[in-house]
Amino acid sequence: MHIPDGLINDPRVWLAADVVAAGTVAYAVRRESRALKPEEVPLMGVMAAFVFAGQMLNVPVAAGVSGHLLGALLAAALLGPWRATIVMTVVITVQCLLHADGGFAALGLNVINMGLAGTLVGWLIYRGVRAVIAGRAGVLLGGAIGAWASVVLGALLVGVEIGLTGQTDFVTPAKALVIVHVPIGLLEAGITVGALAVVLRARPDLLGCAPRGAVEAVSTAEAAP
Amino acid sequence: MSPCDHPEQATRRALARRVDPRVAVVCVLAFVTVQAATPIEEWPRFVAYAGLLLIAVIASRVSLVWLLKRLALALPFVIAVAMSTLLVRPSADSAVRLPGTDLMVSGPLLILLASVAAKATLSIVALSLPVALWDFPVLVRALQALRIPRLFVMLIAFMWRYVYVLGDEARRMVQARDARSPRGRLVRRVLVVGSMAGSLFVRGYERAERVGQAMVARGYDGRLRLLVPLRRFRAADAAAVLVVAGALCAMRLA
Repeated sequence: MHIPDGLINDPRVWLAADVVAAGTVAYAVRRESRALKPEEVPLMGVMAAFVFAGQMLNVPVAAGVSGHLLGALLAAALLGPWRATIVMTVVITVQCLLHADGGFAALGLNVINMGLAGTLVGWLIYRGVRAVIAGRAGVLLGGAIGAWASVVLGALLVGVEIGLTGQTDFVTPAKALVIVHVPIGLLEAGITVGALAVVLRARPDLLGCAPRGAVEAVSTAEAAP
Repeated sequence: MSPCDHPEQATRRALARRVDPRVAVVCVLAFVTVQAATPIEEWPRFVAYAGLLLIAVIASRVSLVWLLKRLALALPFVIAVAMSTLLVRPSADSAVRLPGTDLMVSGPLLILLASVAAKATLSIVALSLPVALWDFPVLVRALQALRIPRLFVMLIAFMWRYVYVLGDEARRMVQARDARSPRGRLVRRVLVVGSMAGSLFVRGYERAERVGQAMVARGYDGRLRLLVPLRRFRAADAAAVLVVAGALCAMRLA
């Protein structure tokens, strides 16, 4: 889904996307820089490496076809929306500059489609579900819906970006793109749920949940003296 | 895709390495942006862009095989647009004859196909040159010198340091899964990869916590100090700037 240069032919569209993405990321950097402790910088850097490496874990779907994690919603659930925005932007920028994966002029488009769609919109859905359903079920369900929505929204945005040029002949390919991503989103949802389940078991504190058995531990501690 | 993508040894002796990496990065990004902003209908300009890029490629001594491998990244998009061009029934006012055949295809889609093929190729080749010429710390130093926000430069540097570590970890997990895990139903396979991503995250997070504490214990205060000296501007730098800027202006205005 890394859009290369030239797929969105109209400079007005990608320039506007570059401006929107740069503005949002600049806000995220300013907001997070203030509260960032020195030891949290390597933490975010390693998380960027995690998103990069996580994209190497492939799911064999059918012969010759495999899917992989995008990770924007997972990063937002684990790091918070603004830090995840910065991390995803770093990942997408490095993929562009070092691997030439995704265009440079199209960087803003890619940051919006693969980053912001998950770290901000997907995250809002995730928080919304968690507000309604408390505890672990809310984390898993919110993660599933948020991850699915972030992928479908990303594809929808690509479709809109292609369609913004106003060519009627682009409507059918754009529709096909969105429809293809409905099952791909399910893949993302499944991987995200699997990952969140492991984190819930190993480090529930990172998801704002009490560790399992913590309540009993407290009550026995109170009963002991 | 492997995070390990070492540049070729041949580029060590390349003429283009006489240019300052900062200058090269700015020139490449300017080139990519200008060509992406050029309407594809003005195709003679793209011949000129390709000529300019070809000179840079020859001066960089990068191998063609390596460049072709990178170009393959844009291939799925080119194929998707090409298929759309062939499959979508054109509306009456946009239909054009496909050259050489009597097939009627959509004009805007044909233009889009030319656009993505030409611009993605130029962009990928141009973006590949600095990576082929210099080691990563040199490029990070160049980004730092170009006043990219500090947090960003640091995150790029840390990410690069740990992407090999976590990448190896991910590869081992995939290998172990492929060796042991039977091919279950799709849902099962997806959840297994989810568990792998979850363990990769927890291991990475706890490693990052240890790294951060160890760095603070050794006096890290949130500033990035690189042992890569920046050299002074030389005649080759000025020449590169003048050639690229002049050529881009000439191509835009001509």
